[in-house]
Amino acid sequence: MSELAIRTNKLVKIYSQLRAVDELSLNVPRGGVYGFLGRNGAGKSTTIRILLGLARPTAGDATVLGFAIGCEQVAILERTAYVGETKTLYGALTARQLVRFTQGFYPNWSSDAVAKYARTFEIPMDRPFAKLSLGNRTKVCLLLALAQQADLLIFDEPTSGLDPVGVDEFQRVVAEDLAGEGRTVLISSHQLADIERIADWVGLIDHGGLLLEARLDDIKSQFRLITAAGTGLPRSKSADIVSVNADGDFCKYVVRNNAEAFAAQLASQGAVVTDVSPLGLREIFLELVRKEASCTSGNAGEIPASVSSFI
Amino acid sequence: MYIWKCWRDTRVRLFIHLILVSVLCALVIAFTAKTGGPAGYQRGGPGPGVPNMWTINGKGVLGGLFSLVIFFGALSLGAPGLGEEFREQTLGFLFTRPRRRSFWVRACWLVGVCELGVVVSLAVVGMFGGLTYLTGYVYTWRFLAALAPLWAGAIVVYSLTYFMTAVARSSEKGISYSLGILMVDLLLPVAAYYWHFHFVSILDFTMAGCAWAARSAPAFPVGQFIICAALACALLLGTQFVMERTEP
Repeated sequence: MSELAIRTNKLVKIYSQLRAVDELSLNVPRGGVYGFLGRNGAGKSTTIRILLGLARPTAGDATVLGFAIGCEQVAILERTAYVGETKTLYGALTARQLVRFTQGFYPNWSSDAVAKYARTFEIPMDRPFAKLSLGNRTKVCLLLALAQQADLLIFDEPTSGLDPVGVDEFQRVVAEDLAGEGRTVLISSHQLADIERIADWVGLIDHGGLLLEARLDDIKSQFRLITAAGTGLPRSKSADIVSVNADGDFCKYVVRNNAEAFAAQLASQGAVVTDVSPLGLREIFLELVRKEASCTSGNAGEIPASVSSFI
Repeated sequence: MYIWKCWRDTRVRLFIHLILVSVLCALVIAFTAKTGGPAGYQRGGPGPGVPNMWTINGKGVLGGLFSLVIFFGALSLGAPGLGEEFREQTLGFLFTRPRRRSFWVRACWLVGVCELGVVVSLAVVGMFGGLTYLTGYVYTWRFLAALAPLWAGAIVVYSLTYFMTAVARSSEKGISYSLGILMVDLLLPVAAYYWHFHFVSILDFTMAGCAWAARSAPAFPVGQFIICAALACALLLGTQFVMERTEP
């Protein structure tokens, strides 16, 4: 059995003139939670749709749970639960009817899980789907996905419309029930704080290409914000310096790897290093994406060497 | 379960058509009884006018009037199956259930074909029962075989609407496009008559089939039946082809 739940190899998807996914090579390990991050239009949803057979790749290939997309799609869908970004189900059916509709397709379907999560999320089971609030619609979609007992769960913006209690319940379910049972969860979201709480791995894409893919703990341990004051401070980026923000004699550096050595180097040049602090996922995301935006004008899709070396 | 869902989407239209056909049956029977002519026509046993009455009703009423009504029923029933998926934007949900796309297309198509079968059966059995009641005599059991041409013709129209709905990604557009094509199919025989070229419309086929069932034509239009069956299959495969390539 493959160690990877999802593997994409130079996946490309072009919509007329737009390269929505650009030679994307993802490696999602089995077990644990994988946060799939990127700006609006970065190509996250398109990638997910390709994996599930909802869109056809222009080039490249991919496997999900060891099955090739396209030719072994039914085998993939039998083992994969999916909640899409548009939470639309049959409006006239109640949650109970939707459960009845869906359960026949899945041999491992758990009625106990239906009862459990209907209680956990407080889902009105006998109301037509069209008459539910956005949050409750999301909960019904989550319920249908969770009851499948799938090996792989793919959630695209799963918390949209959920209230804070719902978000908290969802995170608990993912961290305790799913990851605890060794299932693989891929979550595409803009809620970086939520991802930071539950993800083991993070993949960051922009302009359809991969910027960063690594364990979250490794990312957080390697990126540092260094604040220094002095004259003649270096203002150019390098392999390890992801970004530089200069304001008079003050400079803020986001450094990947060897932050202490860089701080020592600054100090040896006469600068006063006032702070070396760790960065959260949000700051790292912003720095990488901003950097990518500034670096790729006229060169969209190319992964900067400083970042690709980290992948 | 998908079949149940398709049935839910189409049942209102089905009931409307069943009511329509029942009312039409009653009207035709009442009209026939009123204008039936000599006593020999009604409960008079196998008089000389009885076969003629069965033939007229079999060919003209079933093959002409009822087939038109059933065709419009087929237009209406062909649209909601896939049309509802497009309207509700649920194809993404449906296509991520572990079945091939052809399964959904065929299952949904089959529900409509069965529903059409019910509508056609009601029309044929209604006419058969009505004529038997009026004449007090079962002229021919072959009359019930009018089911085959009526159903086959309706399935072609139904499959056309089904296909057009998939192409246009909308039930309303699917009906409009199919209606346009059906109008051409209905009007072309008129042009064929004036300009003397050979053309067989779907309505021609159903009339010929019903005439055979009512014993006024010597042979069942096998060739036309095969063309209709092939056309319906081709339209179903065409729908499958379109849906396989749809990116919801």
